[in-house]
Amino acid sequence: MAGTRQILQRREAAENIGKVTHTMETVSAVRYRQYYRRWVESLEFYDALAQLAYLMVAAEQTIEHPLMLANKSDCQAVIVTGSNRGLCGAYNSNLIKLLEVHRKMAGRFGKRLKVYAQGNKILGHLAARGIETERVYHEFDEMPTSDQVRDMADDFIAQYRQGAIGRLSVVYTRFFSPANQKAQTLTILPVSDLIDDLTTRATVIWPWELGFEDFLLSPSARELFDGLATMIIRTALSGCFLDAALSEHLQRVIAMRSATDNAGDMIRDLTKHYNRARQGRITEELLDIIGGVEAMQ
Amino acid sequence: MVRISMGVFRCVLLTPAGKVLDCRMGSLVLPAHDGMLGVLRNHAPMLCKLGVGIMEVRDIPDRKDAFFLIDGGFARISLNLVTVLTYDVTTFEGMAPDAAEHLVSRAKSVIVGGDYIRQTEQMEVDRARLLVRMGELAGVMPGD
Repeated sequence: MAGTRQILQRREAAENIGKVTHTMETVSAVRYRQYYRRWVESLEFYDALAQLAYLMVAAEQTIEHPLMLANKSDCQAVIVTGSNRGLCGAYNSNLIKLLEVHRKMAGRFGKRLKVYAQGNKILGHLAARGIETERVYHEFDEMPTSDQVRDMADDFIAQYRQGAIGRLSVVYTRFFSPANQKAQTLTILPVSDLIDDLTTRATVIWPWELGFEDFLLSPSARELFDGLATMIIRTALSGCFLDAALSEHLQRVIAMRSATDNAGDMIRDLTKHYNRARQGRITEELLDIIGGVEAMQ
Repeated sequence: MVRISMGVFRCVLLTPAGKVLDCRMGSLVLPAHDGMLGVLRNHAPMLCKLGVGIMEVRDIPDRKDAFFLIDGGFARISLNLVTVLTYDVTTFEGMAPDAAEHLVSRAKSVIVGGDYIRQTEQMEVDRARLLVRMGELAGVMPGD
């Protein structure tokens, strides 16, 4: 059995770990609340955008647009959004598993995969596996600014139009609700897949009294769709980063709360052990004294 | 002034950062991609691309008119509901008077700065023209 000094040292170490994990939990909880408010406030915008997109794709006369159609490029682009720091459960490992699936699929279908990455943990994994990245987003920490999202979206749209990429996907952890987050892939381009996702997750139903043909259009349907597709892509990219940051902080809160609880349990156990050991020593000393006194008599 | 609005209708202004406006109003002027677009109650259903400009919200019951500087986006007008989707909105609504004045004063300095730059550039262009003319008069012809 360990001595009382060793037990005290272990208890002190557990207390320090508990303090660190509790601080990390608090920091992540604050960030989570900020992002969550932002996420809730953006929902209405997504719904309105989904209604607009649904209205346009449900038109009797199909709108032909280059971003809606698949192209013949043999290259696929995938953006992976991980975290810069660890201690958030299986957050990064789930993304890495999903990325591996994409690599295998691309290899199987003879496609080249361009990997765009964000987050030190993902970069570490890619470097360890010798996977080359097309671009690393170092310019932002968790959430890109609206200008950065615009540049990112414009770059991918240009690549898709030129036929340099045939598909753009984002591997991220989607935030469905505080009780449900899941690592998944969202297809951004071709935009038809994205509209499909957007319209199925929108919570507001379009008033069916009006169809696309009932609306006056300014400018033409094609020009309107051009602007709308750009807005959808930018919003979806920005939404992916927001979902990822939100999920990361929530998972860190959960992981750190569990670690703090475990540290508390360990401190309680060690305190019991310490008291028992201390009491044992006192009893031992008393017995020694009594034994000595008896021997003297 | 004669009121031409025949009743109120609802307008919702949304950005990715949240809802900026949701109220009833008598008339609305939107900065469409090709000019200003006026909207009254019972406007025909319409989908419109927006440009950069000022959205004017007039005749709001029990409050002053509101103005929003919007930066592109879309407007959907249907069934007396106008939904405006835009990336970014600047407004004085809910802003402290000091902050609003500061914003306007900064905008004024940008305009003055822009005018100064344009004036300086124009002076340089005029001077360059005179130099070319002087070169012609003096017979100085560059190689190219």
